[in-house]
Amino acid sequence: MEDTTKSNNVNKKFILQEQVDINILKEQRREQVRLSFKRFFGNRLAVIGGAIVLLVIIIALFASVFSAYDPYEMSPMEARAELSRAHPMGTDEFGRDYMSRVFYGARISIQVGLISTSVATLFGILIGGIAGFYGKMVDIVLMRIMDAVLSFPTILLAIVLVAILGPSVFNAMLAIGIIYIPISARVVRSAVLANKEADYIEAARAVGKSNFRILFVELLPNCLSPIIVQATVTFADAIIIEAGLSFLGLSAQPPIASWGKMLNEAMEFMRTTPYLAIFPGAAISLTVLGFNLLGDGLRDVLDPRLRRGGL
Amino acid sequence: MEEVLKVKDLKTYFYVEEGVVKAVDGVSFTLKKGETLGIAGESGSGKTVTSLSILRLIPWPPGKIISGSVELDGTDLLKIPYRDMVNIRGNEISMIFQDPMTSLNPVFTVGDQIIETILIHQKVDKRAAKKRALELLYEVGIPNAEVRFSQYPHEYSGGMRQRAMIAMSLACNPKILIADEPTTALDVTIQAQILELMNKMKEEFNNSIIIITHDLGVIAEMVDNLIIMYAGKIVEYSDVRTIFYHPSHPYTWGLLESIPKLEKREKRLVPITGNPPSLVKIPEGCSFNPRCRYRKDICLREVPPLIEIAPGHSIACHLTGEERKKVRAEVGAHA
Repeated sequence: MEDTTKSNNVNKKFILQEQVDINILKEQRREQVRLSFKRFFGNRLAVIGGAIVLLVIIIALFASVFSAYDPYEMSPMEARAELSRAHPMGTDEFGRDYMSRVFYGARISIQVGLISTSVATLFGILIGGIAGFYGKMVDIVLMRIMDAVLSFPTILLAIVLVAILGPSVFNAMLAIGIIYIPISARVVRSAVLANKEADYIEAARAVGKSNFRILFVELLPNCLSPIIVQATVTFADAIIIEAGLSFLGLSAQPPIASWGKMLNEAMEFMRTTPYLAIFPGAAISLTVLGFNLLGDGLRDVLDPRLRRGGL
Repeated sequence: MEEVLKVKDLKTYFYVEEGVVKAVDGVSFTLKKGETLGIAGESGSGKTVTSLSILRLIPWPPGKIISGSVELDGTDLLKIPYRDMVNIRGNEISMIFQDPMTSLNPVFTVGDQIIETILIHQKVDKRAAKKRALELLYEVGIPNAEVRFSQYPHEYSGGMRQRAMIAMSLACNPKILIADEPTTALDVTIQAQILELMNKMKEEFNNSIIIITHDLGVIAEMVDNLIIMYAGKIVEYSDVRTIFYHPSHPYTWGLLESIPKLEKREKRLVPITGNPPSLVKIPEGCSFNPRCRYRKDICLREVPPLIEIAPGHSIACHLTGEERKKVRAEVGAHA
């Protein structure tokens, strides 16, 4: 009788102790999240970058709400109007409200960034993952192809690809995506190489997981940090390159409002109305800066070398 | 008793720049149902490669199983297609590794990892798998299993991670559990708990265990039969009592002499002189000959075959029975 109460007490104590342990663990987990946030928000530049990115995305999403005018509606009487309350950024050569066009231009840039980055990252993961994981001949063949693509100057290759595909925003996105596949592939491959010898991969083999599963389910989630950081960089680059292609008339076609195209159209009037070039130019620079700062900040948060390990 | 696993003349070589590393060179043994087999030896003696060969986990290049057979219930695992082999891993034979700190995938919760293992091999729905996973965590003695279930590996301590690994490897009730130095990375009190757990689980699941270790204490605690390996070969193979009380190979003598004993106050431990040989350049004749105190001429020339000197007790040594007796009398009771 006494014995059972005793053991019950011991049990109770044990359970209580466990409860305490669990609470400590939960607290530690919250602490980890807090630390990550703190690291990100402690990095002033990253916060600024994040804010810019957020702003651009909001403008792109709600361009129609923020714009007072239809960006495509021409009013020749008001062509190249001065900055005014009605037209805070003036109007272009056809009298279209410039601010509305800058806002709508954000849509194109964000779209380009999203789609190009998705193409590059997706194929980069596939190619880099397979090359890194299977190694040997597969690796050699795939990575030499990637090196070949990488050996062309970026803009030149983009121009060639768009020339083949035909000039349009969509084709420009595709071309930019294709150009950035090798860069993503390299990043993914190196991350896979770094992780594939890990014990948990061997353990996964030992419990009978297939190669496919090991690569895509076990390995890739562990490679996410460098992939995310690379994606933000690709995003920024894609916006610049698309602006370049638009400027050359290889991406957005009139009357689409695209920052690069607007720069191109403003070129003629640089002497008389320089702000027509300054606004889209500033929009491009600011957006790209925002994404780059965000990328740096994310690297600081996600880099495992900076993260405090487990218990 | 029924024989579950029969390894015959297994040879696994690694082809590296310096030459051919004969990591496992003609290893044969059988594992019976419910048996715990120990494989002991120094680092680099081929213990781990033997176990990885059984699961066909040797990475090629540079490693390759060049001959032999590994029969699981009569089917040669070295001959079946790769697909079937993947099915056997975790399902019929599973393995736990030395370092529990790194053997669990850091980005998934422990529960999910166990569930996945179950779902790979068994046709059950997710809910049933979850129930089973919870049971397993409970059975391996993880307190507060419901909470622990949805925690990540870094929230576990080392001992608990090894328990979780054991739970995962037992998820599909495998016939054979291979444990590669399961306690090396743990501290002593946790070691004892893990060994006790493995014994308990063996009784419960009625499977066989191959335990690889260089810790003779672990062997004494766990093992029925014992293989002593040296430079990729079996040098002594017998039941554990015989090896501890009547060791017959000079290498085994050396091993036993180099552990401190409680009952005898010794001035100094007797180590085995020299180093294990480079596996690229294994000495001619008996591979142990440069370190052997009882070396004879023949040892330099001929590889000693593994011969049975008593029922169930084999050694690979050129010393005759008379010579062994003499040495044993000289050195004392233990050797």
